[in-house]
Amino acid sequence: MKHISLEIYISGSFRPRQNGFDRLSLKLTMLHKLPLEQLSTVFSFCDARSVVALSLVSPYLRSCVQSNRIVYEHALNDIFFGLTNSTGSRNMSVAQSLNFIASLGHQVDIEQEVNLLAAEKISKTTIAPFHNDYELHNNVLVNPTATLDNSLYNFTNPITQNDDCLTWLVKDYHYVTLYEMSLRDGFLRVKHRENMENMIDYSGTSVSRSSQMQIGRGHLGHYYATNDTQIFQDQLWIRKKENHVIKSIMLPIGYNLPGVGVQKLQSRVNSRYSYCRLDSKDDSAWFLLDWNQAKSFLLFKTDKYSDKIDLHACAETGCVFITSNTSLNTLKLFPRISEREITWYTAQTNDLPKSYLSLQYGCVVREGAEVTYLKHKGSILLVGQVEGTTQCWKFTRPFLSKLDAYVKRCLPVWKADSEEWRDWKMDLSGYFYPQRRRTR
Amino acid sequence: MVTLVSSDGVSFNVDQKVASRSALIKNMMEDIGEDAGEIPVPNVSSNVLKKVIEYCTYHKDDPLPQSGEDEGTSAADKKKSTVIDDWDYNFLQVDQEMLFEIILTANYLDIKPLLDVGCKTVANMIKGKTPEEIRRTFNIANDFTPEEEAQIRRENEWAEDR
Repeated sequence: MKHISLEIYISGSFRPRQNGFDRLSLKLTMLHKLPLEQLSTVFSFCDARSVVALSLVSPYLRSCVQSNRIVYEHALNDIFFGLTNSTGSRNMSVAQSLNFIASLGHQVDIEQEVNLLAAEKISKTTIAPFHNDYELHNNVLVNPTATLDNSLYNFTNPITQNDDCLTWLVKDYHYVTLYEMSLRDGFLRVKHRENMENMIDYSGTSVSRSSQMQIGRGHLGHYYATNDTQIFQDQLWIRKKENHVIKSIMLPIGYNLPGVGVQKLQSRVNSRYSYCRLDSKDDSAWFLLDWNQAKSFLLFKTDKYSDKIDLHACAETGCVFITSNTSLNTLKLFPRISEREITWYTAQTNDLPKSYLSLQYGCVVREGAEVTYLKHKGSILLVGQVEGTTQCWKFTRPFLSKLDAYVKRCLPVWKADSEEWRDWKMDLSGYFYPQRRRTR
Repeated sequence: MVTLVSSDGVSFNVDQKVASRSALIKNMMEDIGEDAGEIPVPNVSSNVLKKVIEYCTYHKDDPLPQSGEDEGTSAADKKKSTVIDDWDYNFLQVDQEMLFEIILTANYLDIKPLLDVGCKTVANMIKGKTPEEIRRTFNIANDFTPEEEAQIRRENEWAEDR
């Protein structure tokens, strides 16, 4: 009878366990004892979420998962960017999503979050300006390897808000991608992706020449718009074509729309209001456009073609946030306008406790750091560059409570006509125009 | 008939067709001819070998997988179904130690269908679980160092509800 040792027969093909694992095998669990090749087979049967979850279990499993680079990247893309056709993540319930997110931070009260989300879905009512009873309870994961658009040559509008989504552009060698982050379900999706070869440079703005959606960024920020909405300018009028209906507003005296290609100056709040930056011979200014009344209202002036100040409109509340790229000192908050006039208050943030920011959020926002704010349901998202890296911070109620308390203390009554109007005059037709000061 | 001898000296007489479910044993039998005689399986204990023979016996009439059929496709591309048929599912209702040994033996003896179904079972144990639940399921200690946790936290900074 022949005796053949399988150990000898397959000595070339048998995969030993990881170094040191035999010795410790009694103490190791099954997942840790499986050789990498079998673990890889397990990964190949796992859905994306499981792969990412495995990467957070232990350093060994993390290194195993990450050593399967394709599987890991595929999983990240699936979960965080919705790039694949896998339906697993999209069918995930809110509870599962939050559960997964909570597993990363261990700081989310799942039950409360689910209840809040459920309640929110039922009653999606308009939130009063500066309503402080809402927290931003969406958590968003960003692919650690994703790079936000650090190539912005100016601060203006690295991220914009449209309804319940934040959008921003990321350019790499081959593609320009428009990311959309939903503030409602917390998911980050690719809204549009265009091959760089399909983009043409149009007066400094990249515009797709092949798709209906225009995607690009000019010196006033990035934008996207469908063909349904267009803004035209002629000598005296801003005309808006929306859903095949043309509305017109007369330009304030002395102001033009800057000719920077496709007009992306409109920051739309709703079907009635939008904001628009206009340039005069000497300066630039942001105006509120009321398409129902066919009126424009001055908001503030800036230096001519200045990129230092930007305006963000919150579609939900109608509020506007003015940010500066030079410091945190110029955050201004405007309430929604009334029928007849703009009323607002301004919150200079000089007294905001920067140490609070630093200590609580682990980041030092330097003077000169490029930052921007977006307010959503009582929270402010701050996106900006610190030491060359784009980061995002989320400020919730404590920050806003301090801010609102400051505003209420210092400005107990909303001023119907603040100092900013001093240099401006309204003519009989209701249009504002700059009143030039006479110099002696 | 072929006699397989486990690491603890237990002999199992199995039909050659059953033994041929193992590509390793099949190749060996082809190399040494009809008179294979006793084949020691030194890395596999008798209780595990008994289970594997049970699997091979049940599946002895299944078509053999073509060698190299998965080669050339990436792990991401060959996303596979984790559906397990009833018999296999019940067959693998064993403790984790046994499941682990079955997977290793399937790999060792080159029984690809058994290896796949074993890995599917593990994948199904992972599916839908958070990292903490996975740790509990497999009794894994969270041995991330503070530095590693800090690194992960930085990578997932957006996710944290500060």
